[in-house]
Order: sequence, then structure tokens, then C-alpha cells
Amino acid sequence: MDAPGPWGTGPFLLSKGYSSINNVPAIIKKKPFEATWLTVKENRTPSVVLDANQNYWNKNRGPRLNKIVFRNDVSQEQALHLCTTAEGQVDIVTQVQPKDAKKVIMSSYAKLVTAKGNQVLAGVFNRFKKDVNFNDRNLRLALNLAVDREELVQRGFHGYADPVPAMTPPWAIDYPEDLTPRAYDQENARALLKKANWPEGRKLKLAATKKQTAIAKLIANQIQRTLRLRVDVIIIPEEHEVNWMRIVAEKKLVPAWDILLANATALFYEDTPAFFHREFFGANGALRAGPELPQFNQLFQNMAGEVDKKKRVEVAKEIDRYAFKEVLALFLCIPQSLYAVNKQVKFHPYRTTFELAETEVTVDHWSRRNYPGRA
Amino acid sequence: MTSRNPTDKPVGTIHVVDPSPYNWLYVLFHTMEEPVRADRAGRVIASLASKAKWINQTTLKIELRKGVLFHDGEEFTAKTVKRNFNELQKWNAPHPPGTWLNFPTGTTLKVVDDYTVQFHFPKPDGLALGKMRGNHMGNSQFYQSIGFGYAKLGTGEGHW
Repeated sequence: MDAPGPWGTGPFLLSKGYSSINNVPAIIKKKPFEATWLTVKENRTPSVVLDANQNYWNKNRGPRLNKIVFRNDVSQEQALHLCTTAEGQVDIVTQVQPKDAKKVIMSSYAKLVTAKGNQVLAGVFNRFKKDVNFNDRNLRLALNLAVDREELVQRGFHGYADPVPAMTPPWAIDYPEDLTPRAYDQENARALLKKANWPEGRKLKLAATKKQTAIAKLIANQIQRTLRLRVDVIIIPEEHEVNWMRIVAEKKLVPAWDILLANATALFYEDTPAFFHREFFGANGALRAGPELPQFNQLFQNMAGEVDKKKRVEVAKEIDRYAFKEVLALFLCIPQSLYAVNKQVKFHPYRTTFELAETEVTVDHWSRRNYPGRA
Repeated sequence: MTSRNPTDKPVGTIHVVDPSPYNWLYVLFHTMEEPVRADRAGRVIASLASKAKWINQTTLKIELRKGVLFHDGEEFTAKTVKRNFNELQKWNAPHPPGTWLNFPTGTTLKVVDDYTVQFHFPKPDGLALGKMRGNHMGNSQFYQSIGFGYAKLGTGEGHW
């Protein structure tokens, strides 16, 4: 939205500032037309002020706060410092990095709030490659068995992530209960790599965004250690990220990498394959890096075309089982959402969104305290 | 210590720093609403819709919540939904995550009465209800003034 105004029915009125995005399209298919958008610029005013809608229809929900101010005038690092060392400046910081969790826990002013995340992290196999064959299940399985997910969660995310067997997590309505994450298995990983005829001396190229550098290096070390395979980690320069993602989405050029660490975001934990699996493997998936997968497409169509929710849940489970059985990606984990929250703020996170209608503050919060001389 | 004040009126101010690339959407979710939203666990629940029912394989009947007012006092009715649907259908790719969130080409919307609409799809679309999370209901003033980028860029494509 480009300007404040009385545009909606929501629990808050946008009374000052705005937060918007400019995107460029990536055309996935011309017929039928399929495209996605890549964000090239965020436009945020230094502060975005939301005032309580006193006439909101859902009184049970809220709003419980009189005012929310989104501050865009401080960096995340500064915000974390302000939230953990003082009050009155920053009450909530989202997207706290796992390495900073301890700082929040030790704070006298802030507490750490965690929630199951809504972004699955996985490795995209480049099935377009000619000199190595990622269409071979043996190769995909070898790489999956070479990853120690427990170590990844503990060292890469300081424990703040949940491994997933394929892509659907246990807290989704359509999680297939019979699946568990594959265990680290050096012996079988090596045997499968041999079966897959990986060319002697050929290095594996693992690409990741700058944000995922540490995770990429950790995974590269695991693969190198287990499969005795040299791994080159390619960190995508931030200014080139959109171009790289556009190449994957449009599928006109063969990317240089073998595996790309990528994530997809869920708006709901229902119809989960629409958010995760479709994005990585589907006909209109922006992260599909290979020819279309007819069996996946058929299963997805079965789910999308089913209006009976119970039946749709069953097909969604089948899709996750299929992805797991065929080892369609380097399955990793779902990082948790971490928040630094002022101790006088009662914030209950949502798993798939960030909303504050139900958030409230205690009488001891800085904005409610009665100071001497205050009216 | 209990934090809600006895009158249940909103109290207090908080300052939030949200570096998420979805901040634009979270601001939107606080101010505009959709027929459905997510509960804390991520399940689809009714929001501006009060009830949704498939009456056959391709027809989804939506009953709308009564007594909902926009911030400027305009009433939320079936006409609002129709207006927003028409605005959305002008775009080739109206949602940042991509065209997969579009309703199938050929989808129509019929206003049954002030608080009931029916979506008619050319083929069964089991994802339709969830897709409505992307249908942010703006009032007349919104589309007459800024829209989604209309005033600033002359088009909504690519700008939210």
C-alpha cells in the first residue's frame, strides 16, 4: 500500500507511513501463462503507524493495543540491542538469528518467543545438468543420506529448527505420520554415490544466498566428509540474487550450480504441497530445476481439483510420500521463527503470519506506566 | 498481573522492528482483511466470510459477515466482494507468490443477496478457499484513490 488511509476493515487503521514492494516478473510458462514475482525493492517510510480500529467487528480478537509503530529507522542489530538493553525504544524484533537467541534469553528487558516456522529449507537438485545426472534417484538419495540433520539443526541453527522427512512438517494437517527424517548413513551414501557413477574428480557445486552462507558451508563439509567429494560453495552476491532466482524460475538457461539451497513459504499449514512441493517440483514451480515430473503433476492436480477437504488431505499426504520416496530434493529442515519481545508485552505468535491483533501489554509496560507528573 | 484494562478498550503502544521481506503483507493483514485468514496453527478459518460451502463441484457459496464496517464507515457487503473480485481479475498475476494463486480463467462471481456470493469455477478448485487469503478487501475510496499502485504507477502489476 502506497499511502495511509481508511482502506480496510482490519483491527488497525494505517494512519501514517506505508510499506510496499516493487517486483519484476519471472515468466515460468507462456501457455498456459504461469509467472511469479521477484522483489527488487522495498519501499518503507521510517515509521509505519497503526492505530486501533475502535469499531472492529471481532471484539474477542482485538485490537488490544492502542497503537503499533513499525520502526524502519534502525537496523536489526540496533533493534536487538535496544530491545534487550532498554525499554521504550523497541518492543518486538522479528527474525532474530539463532546465534543471537542467547543474548535475548540473558536480557533483563526481553524474552525469547519461538514458533514453528513457515519456510521450508531444502536443496534443489539441478536436473537440467548433463555431465552429472540428478534424474538418478541413487544420486539424490546418496546426498540425502550424507546430510546429518541433527548436526545441521544443532550447529547450524543452535537447535532452533525442525528436521522434516520431506517437506510437510508434523504440525501440518496433511503430514503423513508414517514418515520420519532419513538418518545420516555414511556407508549407504557412499555405496549409492558409486552406483550413480559420479564422475571421478568432478566437484559438487552448492549454491546459496549470502544469508545461508553458514548453513551451506556446514552442509558442504558434511557431504565432503561423507562422500569424499570436493564441494565448491557458491555464495550468490546479494545484488545478483534476483537474476539467479529468475534464471531458476524461467528455466531458459541451465544454472551453473548442482544444488541450490532455497526456501518456500506457507500461508497455511493446510494444502501444504501447494506452498512447498509445488514451488520446488510443480509445473508452475519457481524452484523446479529440471523437466516437468508427470507423476507429481498428476498427484498435484488430484489435490487441487478435490473440493472435499478430507479427501484433499489424503492426497496431500500422498504427495509428500511421493516426494520422500523419490527423494526429489535435498530435504533439510524448517527453521523456527524467533522473536525478541519486551517482557511486559504479551505476544502469541502465529505460525504462518505476523499479526498483533491479540497482543497486549501489562500495566507495567512503559507505555502504560504512570510516571510522576504524568497526567 | 492482568494486562487487559477493565473497559476492554485498546491500551498501550508498542514499537516493532520487522526486517521480514513480508512486512508489506503484515501491514496489510493488520489493516485489510480477506474472506479467510490463518489461525495460530496455520489452519484456514473464516474472517470476512462467515460460512463457505461447496454446493456442487464447481460452485462455492460464501456467506458474508454482517455488521462489518470499513475504517471510513462504508459497509462491507456482497457488492464489496464483487468490486474487489473485478479489480483482481484485471491482473495477469495479481499475487506476489505467482499465478498459481489465481482463480482459474473463466471464474465468475454472482451476487446472490447483500451478504451472499457464489463463485463459479470452470473446473473444481479445491484450493479456492485458501487462495482467498490473497483477496484483500479494500473499500470504494481505496480503489478510487491509491489502489494497489494504480495512482503511483498507473498499474497494479508488480507493486503491492
